[in-house]
Amino acid sequence: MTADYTSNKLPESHFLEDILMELQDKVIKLVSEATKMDAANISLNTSFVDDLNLDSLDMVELMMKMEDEFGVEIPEDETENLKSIGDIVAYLKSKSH
Amino acid sequence: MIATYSDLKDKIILVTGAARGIGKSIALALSAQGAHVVFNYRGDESKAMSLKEELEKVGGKATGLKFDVTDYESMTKAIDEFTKSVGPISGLVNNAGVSKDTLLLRLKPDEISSIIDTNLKGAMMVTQALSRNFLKAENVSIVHMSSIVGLMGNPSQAAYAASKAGLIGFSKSVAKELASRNLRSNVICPGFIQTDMTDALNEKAKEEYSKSIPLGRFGTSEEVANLTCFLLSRASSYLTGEVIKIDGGLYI
Repeated sequence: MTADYTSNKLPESHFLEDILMELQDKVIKLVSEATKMDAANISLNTSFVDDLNLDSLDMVELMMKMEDEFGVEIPEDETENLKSIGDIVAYLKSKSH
Repeated sequence: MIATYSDLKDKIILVTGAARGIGKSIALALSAQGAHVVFNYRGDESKAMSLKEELEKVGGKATGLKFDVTDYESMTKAIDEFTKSVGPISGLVNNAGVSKDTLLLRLKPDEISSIIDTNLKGAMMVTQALSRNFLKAENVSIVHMSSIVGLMGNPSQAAYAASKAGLIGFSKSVAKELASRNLRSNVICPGFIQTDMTDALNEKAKEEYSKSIPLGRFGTSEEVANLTCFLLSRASSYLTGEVIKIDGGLYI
């Protein structure tokens, strides 16, 4: 498939949405594997502390898995702001540009 | 007599201060078990090369990393480079240490700093620098080389004893913090051990010291190395947060 980058806005936004969905699915899959929680029960609103009962060490480990999977570095002080799946997806999205 | 722990074969273990004394005996004992011994060195490349050769002759692999335990930046850089290219380190022996015997009256602030920085802060920084790596490793075991004087105190060794006692609180905290990851942290407190340090004592002093030791002699660095191998191995899998004296009964 060849993408048309010249004028049409529509295909591009679809393209971005696909990437976002894929990113979201990957994050949920990773979290599901790490926490043994069924992926069906994890959504963008799922909170690491309130819903998944992760402690600070669990969070560090999870972030390390994200780093390995997505090839980005998540600084320690960023981790504090990442409270839900949605936060992580948004963070990774911001880093992918 | 050296016991063999088969799980130490190919285990990657960092030993600080392995150039001589107890640290060197530990490195040699680990090499004899077929472990991959990683040691740090400060300046002399040729000495590091000959230590590497000496260790590899005994068995296993050996790698020298150039860093000082008081220099966090070079330490993290060297460790990160190593773990990225070779793999996670799953054993650590915090052994690097200095001593300077002085009466409290004459103890200077910079002498206090030097002793605390190497013996206590150094061990804390190496452990910290490896903590991320430890989360990726399996069956991690950390051994901190404290001293019997950290438990009983000693005249003219106030700063040294304080640094060695500090390691105990540090080790116990690490043991609790990372136990859920199957990481263990223990402390060894050697008594009088034959090393360059004690060889410098005169015969009469050595005789006097030996009288106060129930087993009637100084220990050898190989005996300390044996205990270290045991603590690094899964043979001690239910042992963590412990402080073990190896002193011939000196402090009973």
